[in-house]
Amino acid sequence: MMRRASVVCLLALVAAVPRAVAGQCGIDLVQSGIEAYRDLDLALATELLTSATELSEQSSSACASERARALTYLGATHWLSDRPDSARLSFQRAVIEAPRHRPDAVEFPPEITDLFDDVRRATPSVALTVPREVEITRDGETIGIRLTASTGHPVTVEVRSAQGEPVRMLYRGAIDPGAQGTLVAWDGRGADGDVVASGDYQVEAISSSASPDGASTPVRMVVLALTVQATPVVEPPVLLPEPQAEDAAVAMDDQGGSTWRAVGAVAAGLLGGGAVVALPYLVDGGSGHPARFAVAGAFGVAGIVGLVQRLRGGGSGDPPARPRPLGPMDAVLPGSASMETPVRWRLVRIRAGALWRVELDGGPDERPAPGAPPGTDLPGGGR
Amino acid sequence: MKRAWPSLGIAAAFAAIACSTSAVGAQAVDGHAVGARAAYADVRLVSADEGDRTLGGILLGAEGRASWRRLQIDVQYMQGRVRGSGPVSEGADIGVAQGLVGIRVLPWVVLHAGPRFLETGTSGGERHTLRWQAGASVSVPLVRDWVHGFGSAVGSVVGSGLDPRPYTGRGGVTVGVTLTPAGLPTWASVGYRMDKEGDESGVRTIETIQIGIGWRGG
Repeated sequence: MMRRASVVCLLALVAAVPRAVAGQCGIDLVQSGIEAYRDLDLALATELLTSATELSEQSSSACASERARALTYLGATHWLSDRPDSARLSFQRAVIEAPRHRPDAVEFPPEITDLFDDVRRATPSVALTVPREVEITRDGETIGIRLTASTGHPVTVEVRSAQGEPVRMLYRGAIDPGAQGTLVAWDGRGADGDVVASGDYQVEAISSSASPDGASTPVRMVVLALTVQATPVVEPPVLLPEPQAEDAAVAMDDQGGSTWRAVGAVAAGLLGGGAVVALPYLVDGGSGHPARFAVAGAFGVAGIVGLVQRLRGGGSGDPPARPRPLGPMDAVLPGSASMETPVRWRLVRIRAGALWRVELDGGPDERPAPGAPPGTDLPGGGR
Repeated sequence: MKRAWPSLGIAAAFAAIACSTSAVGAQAVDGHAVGARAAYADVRLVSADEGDRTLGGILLGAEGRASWRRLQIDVQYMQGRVRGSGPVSEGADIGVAQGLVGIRVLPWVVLHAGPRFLETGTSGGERHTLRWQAGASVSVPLVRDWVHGFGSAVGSVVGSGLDPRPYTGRGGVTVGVTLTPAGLPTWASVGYRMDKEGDESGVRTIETIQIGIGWRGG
C-alpha cells in the first residue's frame, strides 16, 4: 500500500508581473518611441527607443518581452534611417532577449520583417520557462523546463552546482523551433541517480551554431538559478523515462516562413515579368514592343535570384550562416535512472531564482565563474 | 488638327514616363535622390482620320525626390523628339514638367497626386496642356534590400483648361525593377509602362521602355 508521506502537489505559480515592472520596463518610453516611429520622426524615435532599452536593461528579465519590442522598433527605425548594420544589431539583441518575439507583419514592411527573420535565423538563442516552485513528492514527478528557441539549433541543457561542477546532463540535441519548444524535465537527481543534496544549483542551456562542416560552436548560454531543498521520505520510486532528443526532422531549421517568402519573391518576379509581357495584349490587343522582354527578364531573374537567396538563407546585409539540417541526434543522457535503480525517495522542493545570459566566444569552457548573476530576478513563474 | 495627333500622343507618352513612379531612393524615408532617365517611346495612334500610325523616339530627362516623414515630393522633366516611320511622318518636339506630392500610407505604399504640364511643338504650332493626375505605387523587395520590384497606376482626375478636347479616359500602369546596391549611394532602374487614352477623335496607346540611374542620399 502506497503511503504518502506528504501531500502530492505540483505547484506552478504563474508569474504575476507587478505593476511596478511597467515602470521598470520603460513601457511609457517605449510607447512614445513607437508613436514617433509611426510618425516617421526617426530621430526622436531613435532617442526614445534607445533610452527605453537602456532603462529596461537595468531591470528584471520580466522586461525581456518589452525590451525585445522596443529593440524591434529601434531596428526598424535604424533601417528606415539607412543604418542597416545598426538595424541588424538591434534585431539581434531583440532575438537574444526574446527568442520567440516576431515583428508585426502589419506594422512593419516586408523588408524589415525579412531582415528580422534573417537575423533571427542566424542568431541561435533560447528562453527558459519554469514554474516558480515545484515540489517533487514521488518518483516520476519533475520540474519542467521549457525551452523556446529563435531558430532550430543544437542545444545542451545541464544542471550544475553553484560551483560549476556538472551534476546532470538533461538534454543534448536539437531544439524544436516551434512555439511549444522543447520540454526538458529534471527529477532532482544527479548523474548517479540519487537525489541531489540541498543547495544552490543552476541550469545552463547552451546554444550552439551549426557550421557547414557539421561542427557546432557554443555561442551563448542562459543560466537559471535553482534552489533545492531535499527531505528524506520513505517510499519506493516509480521512475519515468528520461526526455528524449527531438526528432531530427522536427528540429530542422524553421525554414517554413523562409520558403514561403522565397516563393513570394519568385512569384512577384514572375508576376511582374508576366505583367510586362501581357500588358500590350491586355491594354491594346497588340503585340507590344519587343524591348519589353528585357524588362520582363530583369523582373524574372530578380525573382529567381530572390528565390535562391532566400532558400539559401541569405538575408539583408551580411550573409548569415546557412541553415542546414542538424545531424543525427546524438542525445546522451548520462545517469538516466531506470526501474532497477535503487533510490531513496525524497521530497524535493525546487525553487527557481535568477536568470541571466552569457555570450560565449570560445566555447562552454568560457563559462563565467560561479557567483551572483548580474541582478536579474526571476519573476514569479516567469522566465 | 490632324498634325496635333502625333504631338499629343507623344506628349502623353512623356507624361506617362513622367508620372511613372520610379524607385528613386526607395529605402530612404528622410532623404533625397536625383537621377537621369532615358526612355524609348512607342506611340500607336488610331483615329478615324489617319488610320493606324506608329511613332517612336528617344526621350531624355532628369528627376529628383525629397522625402520627409510621410511626405514625398517628386519633380521630373523630360524632353525629346519622336518621328513616324512612314513617308508622311512628321516629328514632334515634346517637353513635360511634373510635380507629385505623395503620402506614404504604408512603408511600401505611396499615394500621390500633382500637376503635369506638357508642351508639344509641331509645324502646326505649340500646344500647352495642364492636367492633374493621381495614383498609387507599391514596392516589394525581391533580392535582399538590393533589388525591388515596383508597380504604379495613375489616372487623370481633372482635365485641362488649356486643351479644349475632352478626354474620354486615361490610365497607365508601370512595372519595373530598381537596383539599390548596398553601401553605394546610387540607384538604377528599368521599367515598362503602358498607357492608353482617348478622346472624341481617336485612341492613343503609348509604350515606354525606361532606364534610369542616379544618386541617393540621406
